[in-house]
Amino acid sequence: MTNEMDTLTRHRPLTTGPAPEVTERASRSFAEFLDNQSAGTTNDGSTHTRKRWYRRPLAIAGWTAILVAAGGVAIAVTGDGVVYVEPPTQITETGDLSLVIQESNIGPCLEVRTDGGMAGGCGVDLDEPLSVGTGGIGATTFASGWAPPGTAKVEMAFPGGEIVNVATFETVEGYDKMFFVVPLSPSLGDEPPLPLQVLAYDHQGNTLAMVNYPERPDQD
Amino acid sequence: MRRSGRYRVMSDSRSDAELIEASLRRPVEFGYVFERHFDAVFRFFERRLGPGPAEDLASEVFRIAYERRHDYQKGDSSSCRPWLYGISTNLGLKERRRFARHLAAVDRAAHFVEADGVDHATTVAARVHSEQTWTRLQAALVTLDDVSREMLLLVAWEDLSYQDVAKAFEVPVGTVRSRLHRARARLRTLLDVGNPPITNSSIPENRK
Repeated sequence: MTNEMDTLTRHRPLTTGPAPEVTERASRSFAEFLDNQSAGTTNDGSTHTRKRWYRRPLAIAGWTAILVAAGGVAIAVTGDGVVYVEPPTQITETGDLSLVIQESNIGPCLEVRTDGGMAGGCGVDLDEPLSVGTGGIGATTFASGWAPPGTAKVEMAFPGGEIVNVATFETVEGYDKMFFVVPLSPSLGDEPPLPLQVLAYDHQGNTLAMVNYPERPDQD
Repeated sequence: MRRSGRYRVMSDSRSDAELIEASLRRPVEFGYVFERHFDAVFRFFERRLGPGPAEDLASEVFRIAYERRHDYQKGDSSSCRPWLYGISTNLGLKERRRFARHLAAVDRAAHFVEADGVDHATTVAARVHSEQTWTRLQAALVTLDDVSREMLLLVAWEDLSYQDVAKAFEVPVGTVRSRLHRARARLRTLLDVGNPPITNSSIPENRK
């Protein structure tokens, strides 16, 4: 680069970047814009009026994890201020989906990973006997969660009547739960809803736990 | 994260082009483009116009980009940032007066970074020199034609390559080279006018 270009670069005005509240506000506004664009657009070109949700990825504040060696433990600081304090443990792998658990400063992080990305969150409350989350990474949609020890089957009843059964579970040392991840049918949509009801049965068909989730189309 | 609920997508390894193509069928996919590049586009405007206008203009860039996503080149595995900067540039050109005002208001002292181990006199001299250079730069930048100035700034301030600048302006890279060649010569001249080169005759006898 020549001198005049060096001079220009050296005098580049300093920036602070958008403040978190600015990013949040702009992100929400753009999400609403995309929601409005989505109404009337489907994969097959037909129209619909269902309002789509849009979730701000953690990447906004830099999911570029900062890996730090600290006493032999990998620590990653996420954009949301979550600090991983343990290396990740892969719980199970189902097709393209793998389920990973990792301890953080705000509690366990449960994450679903595919070749196309990862989705999840931290601070999950494992005191709950039975819990399910749904999500999607690209075109892949899934449900995952955990059930109490002794579970042989989890049955999820989705809005619209679709029933999804899970019969494969994995345990992880240190966690008194049976974890699962299962791909969902495309018929549940690109952004699958939460099931209305989830039941965990033991091998004798007895109900070990039950949880109901209210239907919230715009849940985020 | 809630105990239960839909998961948040933390990262997505698809390329910008793949996301943009997917957004043709599922508009929500364009949200990931926003998440990846909002910060950079915001800074683009922050440098030129300050943080106040940057928020609205950066948001507007993504709305325009969404509307024009059909035109984005499929199969381009590189970042779509040059394309977004191209849109930003066009939007920013409507704010010429504000650009000049902002440059004039930028804290000149902020453009000088003290080097370690340098004595005070040298530091002060360097700071003064930096401020003078900044003043000349401001004057020079506002005298360049819009396209040439923006091409220069994309290279110098946004670290774009000539190829990327060509993408931003949707012109052949040869056009970028020739315009930048002329613009740099012009900038060099404008900078030199306010900073005459030191000649032998300008140096005091006792310093020769």
